[in-house]
Amino acid sequence: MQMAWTDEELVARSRGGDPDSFNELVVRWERPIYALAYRVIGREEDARDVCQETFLRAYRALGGFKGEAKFSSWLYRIALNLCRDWIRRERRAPIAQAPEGVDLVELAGETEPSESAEALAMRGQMSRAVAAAMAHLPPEQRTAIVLKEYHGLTFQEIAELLDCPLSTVKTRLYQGLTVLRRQLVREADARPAPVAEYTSRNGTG
Amino acid sequence: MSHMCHNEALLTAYLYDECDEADRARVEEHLARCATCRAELDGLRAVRRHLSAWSPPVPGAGAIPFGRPVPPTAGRGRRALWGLAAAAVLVLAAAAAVATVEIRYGPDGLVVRAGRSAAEPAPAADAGPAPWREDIASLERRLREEVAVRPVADAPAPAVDDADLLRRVRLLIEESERRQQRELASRLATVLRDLDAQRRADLMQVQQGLGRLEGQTGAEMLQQRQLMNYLMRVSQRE
Repeated sequence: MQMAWTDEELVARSRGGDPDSFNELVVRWERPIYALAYRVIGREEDARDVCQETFLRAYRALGGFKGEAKFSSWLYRIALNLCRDWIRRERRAPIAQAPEGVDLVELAGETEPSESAEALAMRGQMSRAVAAAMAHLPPEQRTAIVLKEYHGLTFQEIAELLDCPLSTVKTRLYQGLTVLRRQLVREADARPAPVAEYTSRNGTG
Repeated sequence: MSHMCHNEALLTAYLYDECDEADRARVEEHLARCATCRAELDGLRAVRRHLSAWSPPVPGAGAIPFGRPVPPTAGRGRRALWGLAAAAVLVLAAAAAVATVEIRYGPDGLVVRAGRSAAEPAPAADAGPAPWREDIASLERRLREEVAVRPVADAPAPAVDDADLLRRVRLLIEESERRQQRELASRLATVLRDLDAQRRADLMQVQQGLGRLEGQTGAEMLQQRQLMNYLMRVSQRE
């Protein structure tokens, strides 16, 4: 049953009436879409809402998906539009939720099994610092950085997704990183205890 | 490039390894000679390493009812916990919104409508988490009064109508009191799949009334939506 169909093949099968194909697409893309929404919006519950709404809309609009773009790009665009709507509705900078006073637990990337309530509340100090710093970015910069850093999109793909020039993408990334850098330094200076800052535990970068 | 030191676009392209060979050579040549730009690049790289530490929260059990790959065999024992929660919510929803649940199979597929239709006046909303067993009993009564129960025919092309479906839903709700909740979810999926046996289209359209159920908190509304998503997916599975 679970064969390695491409996304576009699954779309075609779903449109052809196969009941499992869209579910397979959901399985594939729910985590990236949720991660995207969470990092752009900064709120868990609202990110879940956006994520669910994204797939709901995608399902409804599947008939109109022409296959000109990649399915994932199309899906991302839906999600980003919903994020943008959310931000406009809220009329304030999204606040990355950072729990207070928790232990120094470094999570190396996303964990696969569901987290317990305690684990859910525990984030590495670095993770919280990043979340707080990201909250300082205007949505355009934050979105560009999220797409580049966490979803591996190229400048060109980001430009197409956001309907902006290539140069704008680079500018947003550069400015965003610069603001983050300043913010992270500020946070580091404000922390009482030294933190092993520039160890790349995740091996990226 | 005469002013390498202020060429943010170029530096960014180099940082993300998205520049061509000629540009890369130019940048590296400049970096070899310019401490300022080296420091700038190092700073940006450090930020990127920080960024890699930021992971989103993992949805806990009972949170996101998204599809997990379900083994095709009948090994339903380890269905996600959220399925159990969702099944419980189904019972709650059916019980709490008993006066206004409409389930029909129309030309546009399976339609589940909860909440008040425009025509009906609002019934007195249940305040808070009412004991759902009593609501189920009232659902039972109402269904018995309103629904002509026919024997369920195991025809190859099952006749689908409201009475039959309501009866099955009633049976499911009855059984939910005795069986484990995962059984309920599974059997509801069976009902939905049977309805759809011919058309295979299984989108549940949550009408707008669902979102305006009076007295529901945001969390409850979220659960409703999760539930609808769950049912949509469950009905697509074997």
